[in-house]
Amino acid sequence: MSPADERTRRRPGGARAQAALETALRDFFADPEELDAGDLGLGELGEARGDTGAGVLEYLSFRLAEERFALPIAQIREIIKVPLITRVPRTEPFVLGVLSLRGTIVPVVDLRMLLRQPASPQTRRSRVLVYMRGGELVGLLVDEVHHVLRLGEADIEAHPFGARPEVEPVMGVGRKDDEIVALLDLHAALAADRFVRRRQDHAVLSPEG
Amino acid sequence: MSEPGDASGGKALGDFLSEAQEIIEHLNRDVLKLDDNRKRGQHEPELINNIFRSAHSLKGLAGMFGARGMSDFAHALESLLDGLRMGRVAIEPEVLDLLFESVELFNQLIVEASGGAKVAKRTVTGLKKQLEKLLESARARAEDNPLELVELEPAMLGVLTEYEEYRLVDNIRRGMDLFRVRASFDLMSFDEHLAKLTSVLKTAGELISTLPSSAPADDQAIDFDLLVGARMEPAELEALVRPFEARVERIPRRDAQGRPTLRDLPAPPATPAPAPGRARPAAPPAAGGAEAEAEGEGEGAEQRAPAPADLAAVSLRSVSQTVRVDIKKLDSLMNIVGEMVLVRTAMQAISEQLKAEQGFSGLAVDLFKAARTFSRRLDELQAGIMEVRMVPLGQNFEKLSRMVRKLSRTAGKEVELRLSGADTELDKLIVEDLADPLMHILRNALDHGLESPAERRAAGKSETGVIRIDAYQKGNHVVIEVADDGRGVDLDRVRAKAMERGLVDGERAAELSERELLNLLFLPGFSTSDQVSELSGRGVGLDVVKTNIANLRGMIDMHSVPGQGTRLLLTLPITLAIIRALLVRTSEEIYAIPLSSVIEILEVAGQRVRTLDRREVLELRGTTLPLLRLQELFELPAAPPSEDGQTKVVVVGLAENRLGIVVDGLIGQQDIVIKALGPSLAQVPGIAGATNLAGQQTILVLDVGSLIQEARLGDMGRQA
Amino acid sequence: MDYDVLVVEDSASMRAFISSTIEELDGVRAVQAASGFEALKELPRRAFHLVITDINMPDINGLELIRFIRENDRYAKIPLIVISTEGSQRDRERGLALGANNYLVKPFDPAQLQELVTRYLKGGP
Repeated sequence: MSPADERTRRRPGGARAQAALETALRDFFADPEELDAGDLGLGELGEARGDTGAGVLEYLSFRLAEERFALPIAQIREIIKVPLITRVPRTEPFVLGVLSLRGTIVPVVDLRMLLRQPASPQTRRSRVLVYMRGGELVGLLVDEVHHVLRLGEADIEAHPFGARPEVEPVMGVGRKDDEIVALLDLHAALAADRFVRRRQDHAVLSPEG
Repeated sequence: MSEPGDASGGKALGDFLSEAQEIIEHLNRDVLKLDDNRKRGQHEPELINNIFRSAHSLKGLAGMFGARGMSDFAHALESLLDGLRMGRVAIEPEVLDLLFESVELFNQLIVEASGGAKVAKRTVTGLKKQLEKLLESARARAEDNPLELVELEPAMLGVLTEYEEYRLVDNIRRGMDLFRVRASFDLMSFDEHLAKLTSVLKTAGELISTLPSSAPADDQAIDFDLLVGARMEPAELEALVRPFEARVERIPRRDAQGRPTLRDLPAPPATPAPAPGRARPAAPPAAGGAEAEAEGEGEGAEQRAPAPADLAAVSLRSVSQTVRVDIKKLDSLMNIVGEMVLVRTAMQAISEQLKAEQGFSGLAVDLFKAARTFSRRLDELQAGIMEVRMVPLGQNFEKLSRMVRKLSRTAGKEVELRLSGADTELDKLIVEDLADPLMHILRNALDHGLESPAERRAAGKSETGVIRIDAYQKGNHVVIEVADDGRGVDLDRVRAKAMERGLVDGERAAELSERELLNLLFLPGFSTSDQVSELSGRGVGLDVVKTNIANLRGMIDMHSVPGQGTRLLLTLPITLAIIRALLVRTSEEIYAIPLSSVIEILEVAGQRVRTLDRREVLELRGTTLPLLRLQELFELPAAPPSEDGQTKVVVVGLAENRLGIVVDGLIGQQDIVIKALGPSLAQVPGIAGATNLAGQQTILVLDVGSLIQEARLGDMGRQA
Repeated sequence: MDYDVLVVEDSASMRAFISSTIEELDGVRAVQAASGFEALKELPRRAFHLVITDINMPDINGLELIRFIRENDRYAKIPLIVISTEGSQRDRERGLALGANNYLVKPFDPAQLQELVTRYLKGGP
């Protein structure tokens, strides 16, 4: 038996992404080569085109369970289909493991778990957003990618309870047409020191245990 | 001046930084040597000139590349060094202190220039002022010009740089005899021969200047006039240079006030006027240096002269044959090799399959051969790249000596640092990452290990404490031992501290072995020192050192004898880039274990595993081997027990520690390129990194050192 | 036509910098020498149109090189530019006295170097 078959790895469903969405997004993100590569969903984002001037910023909206969220486009490097993810022991539950992005090892976070959304199985619409936090790439697993939203200052309401950004990383609510999205600021929530469980938590090594 | 970036760009800036860094390293080494020389009462003008030249080059470079602060500071340093080499400033301890501080500042400025921490303006101007003050207070005492005392033709004087002129003056002042040595060499090979002659002359005295003569005897030859200051008879010098067919001429001294002073020098070159007196007739130079050397008086000369050929075996060209490479480029080459290793695995698999399907003939044989050749060449390529990454550990030693020198003054302790194994080679990245932990260890030794001179005297020891660093290669690892002859670790105090911190109760504490007690020192925040001294600073403990070493997949061990000293043993892999690994399976996960730490693989009947003090062990050839189950440690789902009832144990070891890792299955060996997990996951205990296998599969690489340490500390915890 | 320029300078990055600065000029090819020795070896290898040299170098210093060039019939006519640091005024003056055509002081403006090089390659004064 081949090792690849017997390992428990989280694999996406068959992955035939919705054609409509892809077409809509292709103009914006697509690197045709990557699309052909099959394993990488929507390809690399070229030059981040976040700031369109006049206080209007571009956000990428996506779905987690039944809710919609958005992150500034400038922070997203790439959108890929869910590849093999290797579990990493002794990490916080929201850390799914690592994936290999053209040779670079990238940690992957289950955004639902981080934002305390109900868990649901992966579907063929699931994607990993490759997010840039400081100098490090972090993969964010989301249930579905929607589209790019352009939000001006008038479209954004500051969130009333943004005092603890590491547990409540919603910085505001964006409204455009009929859509309402929670705007995320993941900087604090994904700080590098939050991934690994602290030493005392390790079952085997607990000095008191 | 215009923006320096005009013609240079980013690449040039990188070149600048690496050259500047190199110069600073030289500077540091030379200043250390100068300090050493001073202590031994030696005077080496060339060394001072080298130091001057380093500062001078730095000034030029920094100015060129727009590093203003560095250039200004280098300028101040250069002025002081100019004073030193011109003999206007004496080499006093405070001058050396300033030189050391300057080197340190340059290091910081380099960090700043490469985008790192800013250096406070105050620091730079403060040190600069000190340099200037020192120079001023030691300003030149005007003296008459002793150049008038020698009969040196203006053509020769006219081409001396200011420094060379000073060296000439100094030689005259010290009553040295001056000689002109004229030699003729073949144009094609003059550099080699000249280098040999130069080194022979340096054994006789000081080589002040080397002047290519403008009047060669023929097209294929080149003549040189070498100006030498020495205290010897012309005949002795002649004997020395006879193998080179060189002619020696003593430059006569003048008794009365001389005429052609330096100031009213007629600049245009004149034909070398043969000085009166001992000058030989300007005989036609020999046809070719190489030929001339081979014939004639060769035999006799070889016995008299101190084997000139050996003295300067170093080619002059070597300087320009070195290439500086950004380590990232080597990393990416290594990554490509890593990908090729995967290709090789695939090729071998195809070859095997073809062999199985079609028998070993025709294409199957061809493919097998091609795959084998490819595999060998790939191994060579890999080894080649690895070799390029290797640098001697000695780089760090220089920084350490400087630090010890400085710290020992602050602490008021006499310390002698003995270093060995500076040429032990390690991966560049490891050598760099070792600098901090070694510094911490030395600080600890200086601060807590070594006693004050008074205490040492009372204990019957010499007042000067000794810290030794010995590095050597041992198999696939490099071992670095750091030992001091200080007071050793007070085990009773460690025991008391452990109880105080609630780690053990009194009964258990009494049972703790020496080894277990020493291990406690590596726990975070565990320190036996009651006051925080200036040296060790706050919150810097051995746990940090351990973490640093563990990040390099190394291991740290401590031994201590009360009253006699403490010894730390660091065991490190030679490289982190590409390694051979054993792939194992546990609970359906695959892990790689670096083969360099695998000692053996056992399959033992389950019942042989015993539980000792709530911990699984295996009796193995008379010793007790602690066991660790990856499945438990990593909290993986339990796999069904193996059908044959055998337990598979991978025995790993680093330094003298052994550990049995219990796994579900063995997959095989493979070369892997280890990749970092990145800042977020770098600190996962027991995991060194990840690697990609064929088929887009990523697996984790175990960190044997940290697993062993953990097993040891884990032990401790359970006893509590 | 091509111009060969000999760049004599012991600092590798300075040498590279000078070389790349002058190679931006059309038809200019820089030949690099890391020491006076190397310069002596390079000189007979081709007909140089210009020599640019540093003064403070190990083995043979720049002044000695200038004298060597000026007194050697084969090279005497090659224009010479000295590049030195600001502190070494005496050495610079000596260089000019020995027959260097011009000098630049580090740090120098690349455009200025290019202008000087152009001038001497065109056979200017």
